[in-house]
Amino acid sequence: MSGNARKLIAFAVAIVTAVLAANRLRGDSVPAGGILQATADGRPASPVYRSPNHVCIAPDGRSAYVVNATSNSVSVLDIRERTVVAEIPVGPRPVHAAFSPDGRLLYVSCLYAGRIDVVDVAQGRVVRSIDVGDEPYGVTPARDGRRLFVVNSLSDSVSVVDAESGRTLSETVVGNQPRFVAEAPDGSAILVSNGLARSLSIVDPGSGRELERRDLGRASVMRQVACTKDGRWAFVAGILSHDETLSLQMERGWIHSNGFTVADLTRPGHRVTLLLDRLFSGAANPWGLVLSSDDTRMYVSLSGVHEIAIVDVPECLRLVTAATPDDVKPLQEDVEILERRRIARRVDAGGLGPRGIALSEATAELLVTNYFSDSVSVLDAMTGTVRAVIPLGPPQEMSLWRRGELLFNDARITYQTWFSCTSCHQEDATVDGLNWDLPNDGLGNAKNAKSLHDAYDTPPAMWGGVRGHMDAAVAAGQRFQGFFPTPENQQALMAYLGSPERAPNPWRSRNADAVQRGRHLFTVAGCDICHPAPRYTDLEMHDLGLGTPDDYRSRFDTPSLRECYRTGPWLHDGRARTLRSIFAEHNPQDLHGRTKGFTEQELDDLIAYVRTL
Amino acid sequence: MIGVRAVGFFVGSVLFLLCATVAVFALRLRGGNESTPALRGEVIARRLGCFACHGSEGKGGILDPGARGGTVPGWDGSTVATYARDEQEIREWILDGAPQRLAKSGIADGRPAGIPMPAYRGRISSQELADLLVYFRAVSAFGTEIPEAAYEGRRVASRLGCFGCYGPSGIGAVSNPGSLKGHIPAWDGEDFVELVRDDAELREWILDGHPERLWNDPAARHFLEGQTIKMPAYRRHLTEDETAKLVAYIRWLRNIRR
Repeated sequence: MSGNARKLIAFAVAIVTAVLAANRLRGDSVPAGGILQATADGRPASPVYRSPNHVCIAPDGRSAYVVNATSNSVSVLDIRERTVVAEIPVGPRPVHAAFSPDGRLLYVSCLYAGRIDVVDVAQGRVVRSIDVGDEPYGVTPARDGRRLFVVNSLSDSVSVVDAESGRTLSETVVGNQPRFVAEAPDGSAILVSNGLARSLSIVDPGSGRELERRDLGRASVMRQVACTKDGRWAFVAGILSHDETLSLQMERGWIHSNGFTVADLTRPGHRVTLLLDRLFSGAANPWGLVLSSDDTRMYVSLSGVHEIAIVDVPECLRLVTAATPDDVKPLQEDVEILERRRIARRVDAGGLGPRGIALSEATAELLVTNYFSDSVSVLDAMTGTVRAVIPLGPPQEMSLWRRGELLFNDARITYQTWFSCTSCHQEDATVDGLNWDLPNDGLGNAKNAKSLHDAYDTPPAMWGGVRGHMDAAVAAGQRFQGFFPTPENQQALMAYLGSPERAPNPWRSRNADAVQRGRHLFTVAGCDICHPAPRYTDLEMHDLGLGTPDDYRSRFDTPSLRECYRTGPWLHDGRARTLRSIFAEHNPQDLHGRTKGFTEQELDDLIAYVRTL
Repeated sequence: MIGVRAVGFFVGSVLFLLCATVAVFALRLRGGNESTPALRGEVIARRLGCFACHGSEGKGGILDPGARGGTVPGWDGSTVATYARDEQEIREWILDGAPQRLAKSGIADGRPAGIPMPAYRGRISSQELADLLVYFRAVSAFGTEIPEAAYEGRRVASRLGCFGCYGPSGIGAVSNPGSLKGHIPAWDGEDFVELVRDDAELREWILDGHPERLWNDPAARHFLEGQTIKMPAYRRHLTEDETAKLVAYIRWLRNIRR
């Protein structure tokens, strides 16, 4: 009796405490009308933002469908009325969408679910889901509507899917972290922008064979891709990363410059990168890219400077056509060429973080999704003036975390807006796959960009451990970008990076037997000595014989293994292109784990486990 | 008259030489053979048979077809770091044949090592274990507390071959007949203080093979020139930066071992 009573009382006390705590949290951080959602990874509770990432115009030209990345919904806009008429719930982290040619279906890629949700436009709801690869990003139906092209950004592949049955017809491996896909008008090829591979993949949709992987030179962090009606020219938005030189000065785009790359699809290997920067103002982080239906104008959203670039396509192609191979390099180093020749001009986007853009030909307007303003702005397609800004929901106060995310994506904190944090760490604060020669640890020893997700609890920061902890590293980052760190920005960036948002790890639900064996091998090889749970690092510097004559030190800070399934290439100078090669090629002295006697199977098991961390 | 002056001069010279020689011999003889924990540890390791499997002086183990890596691990190099989390685990390896941590997961699970590590509990005193661990630490450079400049200096020493004569981590003990001390002095021993007064002299030893002070002393020079193993001059093989790191390493060694 007394035991039961005690349990009952304890239970009641627990409930009251929880309710009180929840109320306190609610009172502190949420404005009236806000929806509270605590995240699983311990991020501070905050209002649910919509974070529109993409917009498409319905084929009837009357409505626009806005993909809201963080509210897992699609907002339906009446373009002429400038109002939101409906909001359709879809799967987790929708990032891109495309209409079927008949306009009856909307295909929405759900990044965190590995599937395409099919919205029946008439019914206004998801009618089915198609399983695809890991982290699908760009999705485009074939012109005949029978097939669907899906870019799996984590699987590094493009899938051709039967739209009717949902069956995958082919899956082709392309470059590192591909993002968007476009179909050539005659259906002979699909173009895939390889986000971190500095290349454009040209794939035969019938056979699934990669016809060509076109090298795009120093272009990096590739985003949207589009193709002209004649099928000759491909345009890819992206930045130009000068990782080949010292990261000492940002003027004139010496670290990053920003623009797009034009590739003549009729000439193998051809490409010219043109920049949308101005002499004293970079056009940081090009993202969305659309062509007008007559191929006379192109619009590029500059997500880091909150602007839209309007490009005169015929003039641009005249410049590209006249360029000889010897002109390619001088052209891509001329940061103000498009402005000087009046080929492009930049206008205000009408909101913060413009990403997805779509052209409403019927109204001669450009629709822009402002990721951080939770709005869609409507621009006059010819003049670029903002005609209207349509909020996607009631105004939400920005939490500190959200402000940090904005700053991370915002080039305005950088001198002359040449780049933002995302220019090297992408919008999710991970990696760009490149080796950068930062001056903080001496010159001439480039290091692979590290994911910032683990910086908060794994001091010191940087490969050489040159920053004692994340606070110092963020302050140094602020100085690097803007010379004067401000305490307000420091606080917001620390809040953002202090509770990183981790994507769901698809490897955790796979091959449980191999993972179990791998967990054991992790101890057998001694991995857990320097990479102990829960942070998977001992926070110490170790010498694995990986230093090169260019390095100033032989020991490097042990990185956390968390999320190593998505932070490649690996090791301090990115020498390991695959997780397997870390052991198969780069561990000759058996110093980086005792894997010498491992069979192929054991190595597979070990990697299967490491991927789940 | 002339004879008296000559005799006086002769006696004076002899007396001077005698004094100088006595001084240098005093310097030479006072040291005798050094006895440091590391050197005692080496003797213990030899007595316990450690080198039979872990290789001469613990450098590079013998083949073991049963082990995953195919060899018994040597103590040198960073491989040892993958066997033990900390020095307590090294202690457990020696006393119990495996650390507690691995007792459950079974390090050799599915593939038992052909040559298992013996357990020395009851066969070694705590003082012996302490000395053995100092020697182990000298061979393995186990531990990450070494500061950056000192660590890089250690690599410079390794590259130049210093440890060949000075022993692992400069523990000394190689005999050198005809030299000032009769043996190669330990970097962390007492003899070092008499031979190296300050960092400037240490640099002279490294770069020129002898310090100015002893080279100019006729008696000391007699030994410097007459010793069997002559300290080489590394001036042509070292950058200023490397020399500084090497000095930092030896200074660090002397500081931690006291």
